[in-house]
Amino acid sequence: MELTVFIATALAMCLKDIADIKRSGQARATPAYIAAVSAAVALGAALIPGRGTPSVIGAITAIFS
Amino acid sequence: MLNNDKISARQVFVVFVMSTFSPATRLLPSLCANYGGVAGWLGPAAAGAALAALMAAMASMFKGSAAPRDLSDAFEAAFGRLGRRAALSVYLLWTLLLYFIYIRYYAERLMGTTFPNVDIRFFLIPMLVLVFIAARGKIEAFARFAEVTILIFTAVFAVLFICFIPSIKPSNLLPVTPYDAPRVAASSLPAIHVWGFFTLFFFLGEHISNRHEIGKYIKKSVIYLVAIATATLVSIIGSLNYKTVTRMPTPFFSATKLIQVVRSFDRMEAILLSLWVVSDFVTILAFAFIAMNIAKKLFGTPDTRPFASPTVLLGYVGGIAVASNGLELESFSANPAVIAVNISLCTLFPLAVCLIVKLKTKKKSVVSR
Repeated sequence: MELTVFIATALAMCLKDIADIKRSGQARATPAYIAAVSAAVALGAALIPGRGTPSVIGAITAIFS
Repeated sequence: MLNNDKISARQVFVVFVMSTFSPATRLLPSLCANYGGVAGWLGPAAAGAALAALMAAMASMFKGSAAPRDLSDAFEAAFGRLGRRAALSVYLLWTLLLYFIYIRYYAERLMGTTFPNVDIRFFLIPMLVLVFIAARGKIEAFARFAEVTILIFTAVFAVLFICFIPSIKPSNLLPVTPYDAPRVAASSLPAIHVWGFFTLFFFLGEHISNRHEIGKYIKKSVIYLVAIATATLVSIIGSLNYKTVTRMPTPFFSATKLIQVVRSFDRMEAILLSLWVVSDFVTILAFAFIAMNIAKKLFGTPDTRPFASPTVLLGYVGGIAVASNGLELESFSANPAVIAVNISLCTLFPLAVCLIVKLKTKKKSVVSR
């Protein structure tokens, strides 16, 4: 449920932002924007179901120790 | 009057000072007491000299007609395009990690102090909605908000410090002898760790209208930061003893609970908590603006605004996934390796960049002569 709401929110934000980007004539920003939103959604899809287990800082600490 | 979404150098200092309040009150008391013992309260004074040197170096780098506009330009001047991209990627990841950590700290603090057993999303979502609205707006409005809140913060802090005075025991702060110098130096590291965030604000360089005047505000801001941090440590270590402080998760909050004026005024922690939320908002938004500006430079886009929604979405995911609980977050922040990485990225590396840029500029001017 949480993931569905998250993806729906991301999609709504994405549609509005792309419309804003086109209106302001900054078409050059679109690929970077889509890459950033995709990264956020992918991270959400990977991490939200786990709810911090294992955590980001736990993984970092494990790498460096 | 400033236009075109520009802020002044003074406003940058104000935002920086406001954004360090939350990490400073959370980290400094326990870490300084841990590293410095009885002499831990002198750590910020020692760190003040390092901060002044860092600020002076940054000010000198952004002075002159051929000076870089921001830290990203300085990376390009020092290491070329590829080096700039690599450095920006590292800084983007580190800034995002700090952003996640401060979002989670904000929620954990509210859960730990007033609302235990509440779902973390209850705190995360309102904060991120505010961050989204502010991040899509003008940075100028954010800077003005910080200008207003710093006055309230200073006034409330002064009142709190005055209320603390009767509970401060000199035996908890003294004796400090010249033999404590190594411990004072060690206790300055947490302050350098927090105040090193100053260099990250130079990713906003394009938004700073009078970059060449940064040097004018160094003395005032260093004195202010050292005074506030020292007063915080004197209040906490002086009233609770350094051994107790090292074992407490939120020593400043716990010490504030002790305040009672003429047996009638107490529960001052409510005021502190509301100030903390405001400071957390400034810290989180400052990191969001910095991350958005780094992303703008990295992807070569004309504006930061398109990155507002991805930053907020990432903030939600990161705020939840960054740690499994508050204890993990605290042990991560107090980890000496993390402090070392942060000091390297926020203090030592920018200093090295500053030196390389200066040398290259000097070499160019000699060749052109």
